[in-house]
Amino acid sequence: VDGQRADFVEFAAARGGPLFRSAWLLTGDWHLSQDLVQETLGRMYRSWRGTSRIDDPAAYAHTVLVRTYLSHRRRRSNQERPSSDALPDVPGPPTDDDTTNLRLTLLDGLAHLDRVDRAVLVLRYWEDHDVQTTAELLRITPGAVRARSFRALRRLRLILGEDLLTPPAPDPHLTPPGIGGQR
Amino acid sequence: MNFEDQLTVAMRSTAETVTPPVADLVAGGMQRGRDMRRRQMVRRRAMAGAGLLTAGAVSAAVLVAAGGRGAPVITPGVTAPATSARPAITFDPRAVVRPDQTVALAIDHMIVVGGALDRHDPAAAAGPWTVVVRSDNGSIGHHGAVVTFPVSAPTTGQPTPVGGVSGAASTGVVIWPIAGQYARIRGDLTAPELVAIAADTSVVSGRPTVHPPRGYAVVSSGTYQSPDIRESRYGSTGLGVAAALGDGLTYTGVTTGGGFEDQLYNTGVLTQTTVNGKPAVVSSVLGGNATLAWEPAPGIIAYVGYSGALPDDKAITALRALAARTQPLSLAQWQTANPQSNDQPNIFG
Repeated sequence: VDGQRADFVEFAAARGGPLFRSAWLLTGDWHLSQDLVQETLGRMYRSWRGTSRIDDPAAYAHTVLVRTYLSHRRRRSNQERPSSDALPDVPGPPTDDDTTNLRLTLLDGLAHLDRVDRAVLVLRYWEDHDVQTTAELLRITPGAVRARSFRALRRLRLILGEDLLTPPAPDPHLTPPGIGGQR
Repeated sequence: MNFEDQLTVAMRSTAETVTPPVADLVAGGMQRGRDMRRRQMVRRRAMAGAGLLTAGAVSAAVLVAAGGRGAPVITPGVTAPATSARPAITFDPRAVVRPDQTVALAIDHMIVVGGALDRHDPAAAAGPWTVVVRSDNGSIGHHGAVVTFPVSAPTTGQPTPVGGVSGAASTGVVIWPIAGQYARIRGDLTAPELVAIAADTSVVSGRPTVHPPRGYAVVSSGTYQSPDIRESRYGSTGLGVAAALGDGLTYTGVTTGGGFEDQLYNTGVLTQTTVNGKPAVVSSVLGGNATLAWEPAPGIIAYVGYSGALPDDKAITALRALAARTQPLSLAQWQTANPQSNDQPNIFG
């Protein structure tokens, strides 16, 4: 029993970080991410008999995470709150030295998607799964993955703009004094 | 690079900036796993008993199971990292902590072992910087505004004159050039009020300074992000509030930084209420399903929140009752709870 426990601790310590990062992209919320990963690890621990009984425990844990996310207390769907229509200072592309803006912009955009669409993008573009694997993980058809992916990307483009990584050219009328613009 | 490739890069950048609380995840995951095993065992025993007993005896079996219900470790739905079944650090209820020296809160004069989290943001001290301004009849998140400097260049907004330069105004927000960069004011005041305060803003040694017009006052100034958020976490079931808040996590803590109020104006508050006679707001700014926040002293935000049930009237009433059960803690008291320290960006919203 002690050996199994140590085995699990080693596994959880190794996989906790990647699971949390996936949860962070799925929820955009520190508490919910923590809650989701602990729930996932708890389910793994409940039936833990060592890694030998599961072909790929890391992949299995990610499957548990995603399915827990999709079924995780539907009551929490209110976390996916829409941003205001005006999005007054959603910075769009970030400045070179501002990773905080990048995070807020991306998470803000992802927050506009429904849970399954968001999961599709995270599985496809963060976890690098192909359409077939994504479909199996989400228990939907490959066609549904393609359709949801297309729809979600289109919506993200509308929210974030076509260029996610390059800073926007400032409005010349708004260029601050002292850096080459008008006063 | 096409949009999909950019999305991959952006997701990596976003995911890699967080520091996962691995130790807490492992401990919490194992605790939940143990709870799940116990519940599973109880269910199996109950089912086995039911199979052997007569219809009359089945009722007795239910009573046996009900007896187990009193033990928190097998209460269905205990999912938070802390429950009342776990050992706790207790605090002297007679201890007095000045409001402006409050760094954390405890519910019912105790913090469960492993339930104290110090969310430390090493980058907070690098800015941006904020000034919180309120009208004479303002309160937290109400009749006020937050000036933040520096911010990114505006990408939207109507050109608007601000003290001799051209700014960009959107609903509740004005961004304008100042000191070679940009500043932003965001609040629930009218556009002319926001512009007037913006025009009275200067930047001294890289930080914004506001001399607000008559009828307004500076409440606090400091970093946008909080250098430290000290948070105590409990299982809602263990606190006896699961009926109102669900069986998830209840947390209480103290934060600073103008970013909190800025995000109140950005996302809006669910409702306004009071805590111990002080104005308070319920919002989703601090994560979870809802968080009730109030100011023990200017610039210090105390809060109690939860993840679980929907934030309806019952939940808000429960949060107010929990707020009344909180005890302010000094730094020395907090450190006796042996908090786990995580370096992370303390970004609100």
